[in-house]
Amino acid sequence: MWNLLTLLRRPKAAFGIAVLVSLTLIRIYAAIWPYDPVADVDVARIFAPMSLEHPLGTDQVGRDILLRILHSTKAFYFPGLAACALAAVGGIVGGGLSGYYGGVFAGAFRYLTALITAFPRFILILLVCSIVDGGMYLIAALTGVVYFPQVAETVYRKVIYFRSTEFIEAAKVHGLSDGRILFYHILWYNCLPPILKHLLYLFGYVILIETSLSYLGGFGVQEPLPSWGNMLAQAKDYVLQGEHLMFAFGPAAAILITILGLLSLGDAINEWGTR
Amino acid sequence: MHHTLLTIARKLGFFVAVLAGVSLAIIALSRAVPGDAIDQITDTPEHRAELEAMLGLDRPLLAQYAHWWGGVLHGDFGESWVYRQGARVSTLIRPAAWKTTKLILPALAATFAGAFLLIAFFQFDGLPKVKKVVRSSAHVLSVIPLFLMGYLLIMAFNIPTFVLIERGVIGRPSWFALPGEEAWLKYVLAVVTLAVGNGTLSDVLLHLEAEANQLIRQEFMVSTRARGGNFWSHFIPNILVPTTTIFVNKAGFFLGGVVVVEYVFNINGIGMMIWRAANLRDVPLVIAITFLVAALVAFLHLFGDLLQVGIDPRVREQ
Repeated sequence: MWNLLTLLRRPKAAFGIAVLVSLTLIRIYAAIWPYDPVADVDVARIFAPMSLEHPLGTDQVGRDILLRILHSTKAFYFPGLAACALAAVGGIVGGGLSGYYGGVFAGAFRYLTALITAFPRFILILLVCSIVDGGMYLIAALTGVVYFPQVAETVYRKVIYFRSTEFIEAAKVHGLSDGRILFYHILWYNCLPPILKHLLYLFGYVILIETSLSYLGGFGVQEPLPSWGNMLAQAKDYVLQGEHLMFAFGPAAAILITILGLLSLGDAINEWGTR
Repeated sequence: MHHTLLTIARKLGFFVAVLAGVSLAIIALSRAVPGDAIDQITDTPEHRAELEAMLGLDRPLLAQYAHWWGGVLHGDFGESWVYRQGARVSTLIRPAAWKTTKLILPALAATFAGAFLLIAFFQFDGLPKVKKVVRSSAHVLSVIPLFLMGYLLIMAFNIPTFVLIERGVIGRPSWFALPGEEAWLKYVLAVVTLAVGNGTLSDVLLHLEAEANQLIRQEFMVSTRARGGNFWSHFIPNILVPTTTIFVNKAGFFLGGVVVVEYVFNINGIGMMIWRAANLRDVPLVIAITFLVAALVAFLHLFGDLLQVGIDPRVREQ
């Protein structure tokens, strides 16, 4: 199949893959090594400076900042995967069917897309959160559902394009089933890079939503559990005088690097796949 | 002519259908779990049943849906349960909506003006390294989440100023607001944040640049420039359609981002209002704002579509 080494030679892809692999490793580490946020409180070492024992220092109640940054990945990793799964399934099925068969499917799909895209995503999330006490998985599922029209749109365009190509017509004449043509020849060989790009963008978007909600405070990750968002919210009160900058810098850098890495990987895969 | 009217009628019908679907989805969602807010007020099942009857929540879904629409068509969105008890939701929304409009319109203008300026800059030959740096900075800046960008901007202005004031180097500038004061710089920073953050600027730049490049390479544009004809009178009408499409697509983004930006900069607009209402579980207020925002986005899509019908003769033939 495709030579993955050519992908790795692109700097964007290398950076993105490094970020994704680190993220996964950190998540595995966080799963294995438990972190009790309450037990970590040690008022004797408030705002300790960076040292070997506390590589990024400690926060306002003495908890190690680096440890909290690493364990924040628990807040978004699996919810992000769930969102991607939802968007992928919905997008592929919806876009594929409406592109291939058209007719009622396409009309219903267009209407559903218009409905979903009419809501600004953050506001829809607020609406659902105000009704149901969801937690991160519900929010991520919602984000996945809201995102699937974009995936479906991309798939739809590709399917429409390929449906009229000669090799697909040849496949039909040969008697290949519709399902085989659609999923194997059109989707797998031709649509995968853009779909992967959308999914990586979605993962970055879920991280964005989770950190924003945790920063704002009411929904998302609550104290004492760590999240890059709520660490920043706490930091903002202490950093305004220009001290303890690492308290804010750590989570901020984590957010930037992670999202940038994911988006770069998405772009790189898309460019590489659609030469 | 007949064709155009049919197309317009079709699009209007679609818009109404979307409005109906959006409102049904919102009401169904909110009535599906009539839990939290009411549970906060009532204590016994009889009390709860009484309150439900009073608020009309015990009727079937379609009856509630029809009742809500009846109110909306008169401009009545119900009363707030918790945010300001008993106040009419429409009275609450109006001043907040005005404040938010004053935030969003400049931000939209700034994003598109910025994008066009950057595209014009990229068109000129030379300075390849500078272009590369500008391009990647636009890309990286857009990755920054809105709350982080607002936070960083505030810190960037406040921290040095605070340090300088502490050391007696300067007096307190007029824009260094104490809590509770209004400062114009706050609005400027909020507009900048909304315009640049969250991927908006880089997205708009990407799409607009692709469209503009594609347009310039078209044969009729090349021949116009070759014979010394008027570049702009050919360029502008043709770039207008993709610009409106992108504009309309981004409107939803801005309306969503407004929530975070208003929170960070403490501006009492629609975003702040729906945030507080969601926290207080004030369902009528949340429903009203969500519906109005969704209706606005749907209307903008309709507007974009109709504009395309008006500008592009090819669309009329469909």
